[in-house]
Amino acid sequence: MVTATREMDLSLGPVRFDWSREELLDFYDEVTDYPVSTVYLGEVVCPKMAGLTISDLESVGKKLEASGKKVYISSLALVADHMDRERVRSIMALPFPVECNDAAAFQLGKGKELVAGPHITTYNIPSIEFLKDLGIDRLVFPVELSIESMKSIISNCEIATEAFAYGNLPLAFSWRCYTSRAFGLLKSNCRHDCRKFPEGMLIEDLDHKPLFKLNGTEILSAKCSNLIREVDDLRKAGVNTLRISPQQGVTKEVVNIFNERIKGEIDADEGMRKLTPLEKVGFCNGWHHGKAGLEYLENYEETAFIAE
Amino acid sequence: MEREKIELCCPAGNLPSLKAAIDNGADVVYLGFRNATNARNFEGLNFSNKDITSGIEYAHRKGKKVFVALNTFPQFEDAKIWFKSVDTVVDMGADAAIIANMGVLKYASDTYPDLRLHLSVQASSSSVESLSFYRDHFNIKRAVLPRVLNVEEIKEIKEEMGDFEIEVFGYGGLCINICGRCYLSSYITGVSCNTGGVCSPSSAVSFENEGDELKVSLGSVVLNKYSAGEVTSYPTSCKGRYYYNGNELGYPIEEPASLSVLDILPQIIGSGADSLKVEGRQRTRSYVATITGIMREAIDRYYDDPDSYYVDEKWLAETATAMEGMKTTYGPYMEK
Repeated sequence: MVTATREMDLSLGPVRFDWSREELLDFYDEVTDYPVSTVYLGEVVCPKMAGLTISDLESVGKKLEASGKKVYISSLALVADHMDRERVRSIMALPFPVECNDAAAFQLGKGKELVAGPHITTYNIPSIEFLKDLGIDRLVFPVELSIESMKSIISNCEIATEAFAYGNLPLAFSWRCYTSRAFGLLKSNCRHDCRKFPEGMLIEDLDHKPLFKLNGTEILSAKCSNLIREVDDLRKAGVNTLRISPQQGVTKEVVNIFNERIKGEIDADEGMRKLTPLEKVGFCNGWHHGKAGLEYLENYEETAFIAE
Repeated sequence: MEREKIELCCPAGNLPSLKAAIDNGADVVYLGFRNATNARNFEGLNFSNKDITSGIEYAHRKGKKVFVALNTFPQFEDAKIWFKSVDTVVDMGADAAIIANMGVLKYASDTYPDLRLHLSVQASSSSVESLSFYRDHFNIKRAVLPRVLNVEEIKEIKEEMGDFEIEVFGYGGLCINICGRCYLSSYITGVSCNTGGVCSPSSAVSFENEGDELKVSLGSVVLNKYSAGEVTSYPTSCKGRYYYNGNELGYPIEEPASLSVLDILPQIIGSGADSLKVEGRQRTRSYVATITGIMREAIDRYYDDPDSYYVDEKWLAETATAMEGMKTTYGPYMEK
């Protein structure tokens, strides 16, 4: 039985949107002062979107390391064409450990310090044990896992764990660039239309309820996953790190609110009160509770296992 | 030297469909157990152990093969159910197991070094590097490629991988997002494709008449409203009609279309792919019979005389009926 002895900390996930190089450089200048232990840098969605060059990643990563952060470079979640393959190859040459989001990164990262990212199907102990045999000692849970499932893994397997705690949920990846398609273009002749949607392009269903956000080749949840009320659940389950996924304009405040919450300086209600004005579409937390991901359970009693 | 024909690999959700596939020219039938080990775990579908054994006997008697798909991802303590299913596949004498999960692959390759392992499309493996990873660790002999590659990329994979078999989708439902990393249905319904084996479960689908329109929902989400006479299709969230980019209305993810490579069969065969897969274990016996027959005829016609291959009007009429008038697409094969 592994128990959580470490204090819970925060990480900053990779920027998923097509922000400009200048914006990204300014953003990461600020991140040096964020109360996060860990920063994931780099492109997960589309190599054409990547605002930072490989040498930018190196300089930004070094700056973040100098400010005391642990830095990982995140790899693409879909590796298919030459550009994708080259991107994965080039991040392996950087002097940082890598968050692998596709098996290609495991293969190319032999000998490096590697993390199994949220797009790896670490749903069960045999898979995690296999990855541990390859030297992988940290994983980011798949976003659809419930707290029960996370707890089952943590209590049966010694590995550092991280859970996606705030941000639009990554739901799917395609060969197709959805943003380009909305403008009658293909991925191969894209015009960087995703630059116009720094928070993604909203999709609503026929009742005008927000459903997804298109972000280039990726589909995100329209709602923002928010586990501020579940911080104690996650801590008791033994999750080590909570991931905040960057969103334009609000990331610093979100990180600070989560930091106050994990340190016990504010309670869940206060955290919710502070987060609510920062989110335009609305929150969801359903997957955490084993429900549909888009649901938001507002007044739940602490989840069942805590009452065991 | 005459090249070996591309293999035709067809779906079966029950024993009559398996027989229909074999009788209409399939080289291989793939199928799954009636539980969560199966990525087509639909209600009322799939095989009992007894039926798989009969199916394998039937296929082997006709010189054909049966692959068993165990292509989902166990959770909690459930991995042992998948392991037991691997044992059963071996006991039954199936010709290959199609597996997605690393833990299950590890068990299968360690326990049964002689069992032929194929990497499922659910493993999302779409590059030489990723395929090499799975081959190095689990000795897989073949991979079912995700529908994210064009024919040139498939050709490169085939060449770079050397002695390794490639299976590609030729007909049927088109997952527009890479399989194994798509949570759209799970997000809306709470039932995970990866762990529960069902996309867009029928229990979450509802139909409602609203005036002259038919409103189709998945969970709490309205996927479409059809006016009278419009062609409807099985509702999945990737093929929903939505508002996007302000207030435009349309199909911003994917049109309700199904994949067909009949027009581009020479290019698909030219990619060097070893096996052509028909999707549709959830479909009827008559669908399996029709599509298998057409694909058989198309493949045979191509090999008889590659230069004069053409698509028969009759095939188009028959597939149009089988697909209830749905449009067809090449997916990513020709341009991305």
